[in-house]
Amino acid sequence: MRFYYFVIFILSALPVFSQSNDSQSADPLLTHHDSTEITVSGRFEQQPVSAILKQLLQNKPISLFISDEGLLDQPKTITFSRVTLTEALADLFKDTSVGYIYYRDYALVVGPKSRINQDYGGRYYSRLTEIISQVADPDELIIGDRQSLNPFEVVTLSGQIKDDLTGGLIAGATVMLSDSGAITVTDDSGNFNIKVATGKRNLIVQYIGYDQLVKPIMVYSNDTISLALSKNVLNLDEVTIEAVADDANIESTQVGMERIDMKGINKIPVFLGEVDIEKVLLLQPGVSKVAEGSAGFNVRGGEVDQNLILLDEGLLLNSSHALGFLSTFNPDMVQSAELYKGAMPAYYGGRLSSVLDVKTRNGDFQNFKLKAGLSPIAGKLNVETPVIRDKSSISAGLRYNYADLVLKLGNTPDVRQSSSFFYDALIRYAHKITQNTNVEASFYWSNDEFRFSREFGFDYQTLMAQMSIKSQINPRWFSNLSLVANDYQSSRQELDNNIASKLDNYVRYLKLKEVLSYVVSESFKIDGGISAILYKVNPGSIAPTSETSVVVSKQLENEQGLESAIFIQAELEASANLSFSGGLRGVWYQYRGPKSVYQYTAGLPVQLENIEDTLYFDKGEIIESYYSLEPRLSFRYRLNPTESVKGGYSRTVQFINQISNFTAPTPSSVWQLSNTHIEPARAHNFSLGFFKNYAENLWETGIEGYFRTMDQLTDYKDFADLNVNDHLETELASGQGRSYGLELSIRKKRGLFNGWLSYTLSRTERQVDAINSGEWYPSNLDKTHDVSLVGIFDFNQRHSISISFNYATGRPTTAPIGSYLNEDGLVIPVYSQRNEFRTPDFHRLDLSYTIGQGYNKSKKVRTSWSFSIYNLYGRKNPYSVFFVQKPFNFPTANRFAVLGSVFPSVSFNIEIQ
Amino acid sequence: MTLSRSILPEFPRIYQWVLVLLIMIGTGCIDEIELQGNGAKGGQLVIQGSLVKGCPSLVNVRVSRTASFSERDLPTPVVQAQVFLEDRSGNQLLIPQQEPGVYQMELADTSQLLPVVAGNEYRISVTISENGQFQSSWERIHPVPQADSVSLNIVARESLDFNGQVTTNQYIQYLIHSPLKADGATEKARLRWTFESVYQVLETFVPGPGAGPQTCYVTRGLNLDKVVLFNGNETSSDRLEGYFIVEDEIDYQYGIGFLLRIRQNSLSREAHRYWDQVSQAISLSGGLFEASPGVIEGNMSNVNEPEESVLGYFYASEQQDLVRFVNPVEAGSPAHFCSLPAFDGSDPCLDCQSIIFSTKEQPPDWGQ
Repeated sequence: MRFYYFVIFILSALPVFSQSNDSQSADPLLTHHDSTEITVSGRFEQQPVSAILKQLLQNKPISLFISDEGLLDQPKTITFSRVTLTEALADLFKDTSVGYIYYRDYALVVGPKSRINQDYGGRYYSRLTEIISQVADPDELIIGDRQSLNPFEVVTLSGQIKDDLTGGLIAGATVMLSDSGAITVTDDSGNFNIKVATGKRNLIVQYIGYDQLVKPIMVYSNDTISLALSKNVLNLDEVTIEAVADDANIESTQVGMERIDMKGINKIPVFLGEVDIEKVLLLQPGVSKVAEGSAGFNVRGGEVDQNLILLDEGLLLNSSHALGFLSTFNPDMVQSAELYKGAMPAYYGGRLSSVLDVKTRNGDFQNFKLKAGLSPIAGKLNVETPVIRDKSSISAGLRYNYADLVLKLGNTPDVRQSSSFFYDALIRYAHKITQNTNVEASFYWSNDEFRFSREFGFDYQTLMAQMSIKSQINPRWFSNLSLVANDYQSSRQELDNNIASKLDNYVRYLKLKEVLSYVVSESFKIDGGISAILYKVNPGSIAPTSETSVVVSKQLENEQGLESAIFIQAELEASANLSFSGGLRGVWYQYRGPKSVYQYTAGLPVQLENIEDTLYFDKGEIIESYYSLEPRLSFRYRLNPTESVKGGYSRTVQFINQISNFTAPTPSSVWQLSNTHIEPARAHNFSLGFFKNYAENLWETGIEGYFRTMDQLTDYKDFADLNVNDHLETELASGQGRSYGLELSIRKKRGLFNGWLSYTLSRTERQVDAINSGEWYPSNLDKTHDVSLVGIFDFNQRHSISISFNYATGRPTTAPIGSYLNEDGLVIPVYSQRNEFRTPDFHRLDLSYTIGQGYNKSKKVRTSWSFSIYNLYGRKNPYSVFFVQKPFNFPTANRFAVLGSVFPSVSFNIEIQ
Repeated sequence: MTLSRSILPEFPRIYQWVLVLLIMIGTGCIDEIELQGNGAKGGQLVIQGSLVKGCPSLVNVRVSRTASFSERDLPTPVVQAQVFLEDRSGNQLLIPQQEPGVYQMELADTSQLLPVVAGNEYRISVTISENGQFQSSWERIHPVPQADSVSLNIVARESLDFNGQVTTNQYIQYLIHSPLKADGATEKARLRWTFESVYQVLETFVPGPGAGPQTCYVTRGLNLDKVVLFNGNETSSDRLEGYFIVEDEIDYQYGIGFLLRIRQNSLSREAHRYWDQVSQAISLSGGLFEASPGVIEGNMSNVNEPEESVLGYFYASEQQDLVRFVNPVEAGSPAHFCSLPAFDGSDPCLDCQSIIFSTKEQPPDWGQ
């Protein structure tokens, strides 16, 4: 019955409707007439039939419904002189495929002859009668135009939410319909779009610090409105506002997705007073990291470099400060953070295991705001201000680590001669060109530097600029065009004169992406688009930095790769209980010249000795191409309003990998494009879960199983030499991987006591011919059990105490199992099979007490404090396990705990608005 | 081969940075632990051999079984093995066992039975009654470049003592000056250095009857937990000028006289790779920012069962012996050990021969 959705109703007797202002009883739709007695006159020259009809019926007590305007586009010259309407219609539609029908004397329906009597059945007219008989109350807000009423249409209600006093636009306000459950949130510009069925409705708008607005509305057709909220001076009983529907875990189609609650993040116990998105991610099921303080995070057994980390549309190649103790996301600048753990939509691609999509927020379009904070390790400052009030805003956030200053106070020369600092900065500009078109531009800069005495140092930095144009072309079409330029560099310096040198590498890319979204209906949406990423990679260069250095300069050739993709993703609410989200992503990857490529003798191992030729490829010449078709599918079947089953599958392919044979890669580890000898890694991801809510969605529970297989994974031969190696492929071994597990979660969302418990039972394994005799072995990331518990006790609106507890099985490690002596007394260890042993289990309890901002939301200056105790009972969790060996002595295993004792901290934040 | 790890230190020095953090925050700690796993394994066959061309040349083969890691036992020597040294000409020499598991023989340059000549290839063959016959691959003796000299460099470093106080320690660095090509060689050498030191001890004078204070010479190994390598093919230079090879803390051993013996060996490419892997294996600590350890690739195999894993390596090399005498003035005149008041009981300052590896005989190269 799609036909219904395209019917447009035009009421013809406009002047008659104007009379309705005086008396509802005069509404022509409610007054019966004999339509056949209506007489019409007029002369029309080369006018569309639809226009002729409208003019004929002007001031007549009858409504006109036209199913398809296109039917009546044809211009016609015709004259009527006091003829009946029936006669006029006969002349007008003569020799056309247009038919018509009268309905109860007050409606004339025009449509294709072939369907006019079939499609407009009793249900249609019954609904029409129902709506037009609903008399608008005086306090009701009329949405749209009754002349455009379609009884079955779901219309788009657009609008803007403002502060009633200042006129400031309110971002993040919840807009919902009381009966249908439809819900949305205003964007950074205070704008919203919501689908609503025609008829009487109640529109509810909520936002923290404001009175709830309940507005009765009478919906006829598409419209744009503006609503104002009144600020609460004192919110003693504040409404909890969620950015998503209360039962989103049941309703949403996407499986394996975690959404970080940015509002609640401040209450989670933190390390050294620094709120961190990554720390909260690690408390979700299926997310872990190799060890406390290692860089990045692992999702369902995927390596760190297998996560697609997006800052808006820019992909980050490193998200860690200080080797991994902190992430590079400034939480005050973040609007939302979502993690897709397996079944990712088709508009994401290029990584095997997950997507972390972090969106930054626009500055305030109305008022100046300043926020500053101090913690034991870093200071931060965030400023936002309108540039043109209600039109454009700029925001900037800076975090600076001052460990460097502390090191200068150290009591040993090595410490005093060392340096360490990091900072990150984000500047964002947003401009509303029109009501429906926004331009956003941002610049992001993250930098880490370390020097240890006069021995060594390393640094790494990300520079990223991006711009996007988001526009609503019409109520159904949306466009998002983005352009990103990124430069990620890392270097390592040896400072000792004999080997003084600097080893550099970088990854630069340009990314262009266009996503077009088409909202077919409330239950059907399509996203499609293209993206292209042009990579330029310096896989390594080294140069001596002192005259006495024995290091030889070496520069590997730069590498170029182009990753182009076309994708389409559809979301379909097939029935009340069944929904799908599926898509297809086609990727064409090219490894391009200029480049020299070694040719190895066919049939022989890829070893240095087997190089038989070197081919040179010119600039732009395609050296190697890879194609991939990546289907993506998620489904949700709702068993009842509180239970659903979800599943998903995605095929993922990765064309750029971080080269590191360390247990945990460092930000200095180089990136390598897929090439002739190193094929892209590929994965199949499967998920299936059951979700159930209790007590009106107060409690959420879920159990989700997953299985992932990975092919063409890069692993490393024993003692692989990865430093500035122009034949890196000789050091690599290709293998496969698999990971599978079960994730359980229980979450209490509101109330005095809230929080969640998550548990992951998993296995992550690798198989490489050259390792462990080709047998499957546990990967570095394999943790059989992983439990996280977060409890937050909000004993009033301002004060809260929270705890978090984490337990995980120790990670696999390779340990010496024997040894022998050489003639010089050197003890040579004999190691076990790869990852045959395990480090001690990990567990830690953290506690936090937060004094939030005061009740009075209108205060100019508001402060908050957070007191944390990290590792409350002083657990000596292994940062690493290492083996100490002295001459004529045998090795001993040692546990190195970086944070092996209780770790208190306090942080202070101030906000000025 | 790419840049050698013998030149660039391993990234695990990142631990030093973490240690800096520990100093700052005082929360880190290191404990000895037991790991969960399938248990330690010992008893794997190890055959290590070397043929060093020198004056005289020496063939040294050690046959043993590995010690178990967890039980902290010693490697077990394999006795009554039959060990042969062979050359490409078919000459074969039975190497006698000198001590349990150690088969050793000196070979004169003029030996007609099996001449040891740079450029020639050699291998060993070991027969163990219960395990069968094992053989190494052929190893060529590469001529060693003749180092010119070894210079010294004194550096001072501050560190924390046991009481947490800043203290300054002096270190002596030995720097080698050597060509990278042996005379007549076309390829630059791959070098390995090993070290041995001798220091002088003078007993405290005790008035009374007796022979008076004696002088001893104490020998000790130096840098035994490291493998020092350099691949000449990885530098554009033809010489090593002042290349740092070893460092020693200056203490009482430098108080009267100190002698460092440096053995400079040339290695084949394969032997260099082996020692490079050994170097990595012993420096690996199992930390986060390290590669997983692997199996060191040897060149011994079971003749009848080539798939059997045999640990160890046989290498052939030419060796130059260098000596660097360090007089007390060069070392900054550190205090002599026995200038201190005598101890009770067994006092090495009254009986210097009680010091392990000491002798009253002055080494022939002393003072050179």
